[in-house]
Amino acid sequence: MNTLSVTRATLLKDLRMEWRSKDAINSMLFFSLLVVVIFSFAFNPTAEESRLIAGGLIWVAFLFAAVVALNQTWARELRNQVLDAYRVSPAPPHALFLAKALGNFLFVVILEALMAPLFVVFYQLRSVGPVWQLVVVALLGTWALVVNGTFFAAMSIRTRNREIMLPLILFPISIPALVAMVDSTTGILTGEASPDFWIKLLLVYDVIFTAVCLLLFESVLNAE
Amino acid sequence: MKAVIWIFVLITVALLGFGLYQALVIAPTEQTMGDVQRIFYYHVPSAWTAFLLFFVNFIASIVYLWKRSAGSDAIAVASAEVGVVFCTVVLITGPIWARPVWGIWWTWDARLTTTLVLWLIYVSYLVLRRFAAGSQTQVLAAALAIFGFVDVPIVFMAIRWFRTQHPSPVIGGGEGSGLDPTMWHAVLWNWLAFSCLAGLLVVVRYRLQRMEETVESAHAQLALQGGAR
Amino acid sequence: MTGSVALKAAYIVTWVIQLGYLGYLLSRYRKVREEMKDLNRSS
Repeated sequence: MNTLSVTRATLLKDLRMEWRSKDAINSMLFFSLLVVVIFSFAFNPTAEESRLIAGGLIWVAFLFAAVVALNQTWARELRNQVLDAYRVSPAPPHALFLAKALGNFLFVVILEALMAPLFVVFYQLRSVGPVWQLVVVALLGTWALVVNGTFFAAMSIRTRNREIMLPLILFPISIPALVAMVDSTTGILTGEASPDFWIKLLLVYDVIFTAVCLLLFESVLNAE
Repeated sequence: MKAVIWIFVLITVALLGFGLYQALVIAPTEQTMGDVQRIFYYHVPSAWTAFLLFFVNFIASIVYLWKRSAGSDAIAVASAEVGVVFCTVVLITGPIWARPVWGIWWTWDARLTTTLVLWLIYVSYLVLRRFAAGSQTQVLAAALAIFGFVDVPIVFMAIRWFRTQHPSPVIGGGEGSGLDPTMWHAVLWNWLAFSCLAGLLVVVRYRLQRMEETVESAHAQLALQGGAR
Repeated sequence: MTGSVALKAAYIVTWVIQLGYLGYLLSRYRKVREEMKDLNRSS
């Protein structure tokens, strides 16, 4: 029972269940759409202005959508006592964590891919800088949010007000990653700044926090 | 034990008084800003003390995850709480300084912004402690504390780069501005005094935590015995 | 807000916060002491 097989099995199970119900992806999509529409009432930007504000807007929308996905990460496991079964099984805890984190990552990335054309349409968005850089930032940034988010979701299910606790503990720690995502996206869209430093920072953030999550997950899983 | 504490209290009060004297009397008046610059002698030592306390919280949390002792957990919560208090002082004295000098209350200055993020991280730690249910609180909080402290250098680097990309007024002078040697005395004496004050507050908060835990477990015991009867 | 007003405000605010926190701790301390005495009396 090695890490890879457990991770793959759990991940495939989650993806299959999500594909059948499409609960998470639907609520995330709708939520993001709402955020985009509401913000468009606040701003009525020209093409030039939209490039300046889109960075912040996009990531706020994706951040809120990610929280929707993260909040339900462990709900199914909790309902069916799967977590207890997991604690007594010989399967390595970080395999479960990795599967959950990868599942969330896929959901959010799919959401971003679906929302991107909408942003282009609603804000007349056209990138001055290379689009592949936007993709790199999106992937690194999404992992940054999702890896800590999956861990903190496991922590917050043991609190009295779990839905509000997750964003409350996730957002402050995610601030450097969010600043990186927003500023690099703006820099790429306007073509005025190189995102190199931010990409390096996101890489460092991802590596460090993935390691911390894997190291500490067992303690959190077993916390009574 | 009690005598030691009272001697420590006296030393702390003396140091705080001496620090105040250094800050308001001994330190020379700054050329460009005038007397308002003396806020520096409370603003900066408070920041350094807060940072020291958060480091103590980090170490105590690691020790707790390793040893699971009530003592290390109590030190963790005490140092985080006192750290948030000192951090609050930094966040309030900063704008009070900025207002007459720059005409604005807040500038998203790199150091002040980093302090704000720090404050948010450790307040979220305290909130988690309050709302977590039962015995898992300590493990969850210790994990969050480790995440928080590991984040600190990344926060600092991120905000500093953001500020070099988008410059704005800097509270307390830029990187290049030097301090007159007598000014350093005021900073260091106040840092020593604040550190002693922090130590005292942590000791009080620690003892409070241990006593409250004792009372709580005694209540739990009584409830169990009452039920058994 | 002039410089000297700001200076006084900053120092006073610092002390209000620190002493306020200390006072809060001491009042909680007194409460716990009471509770411990009650427990000892009843047990």
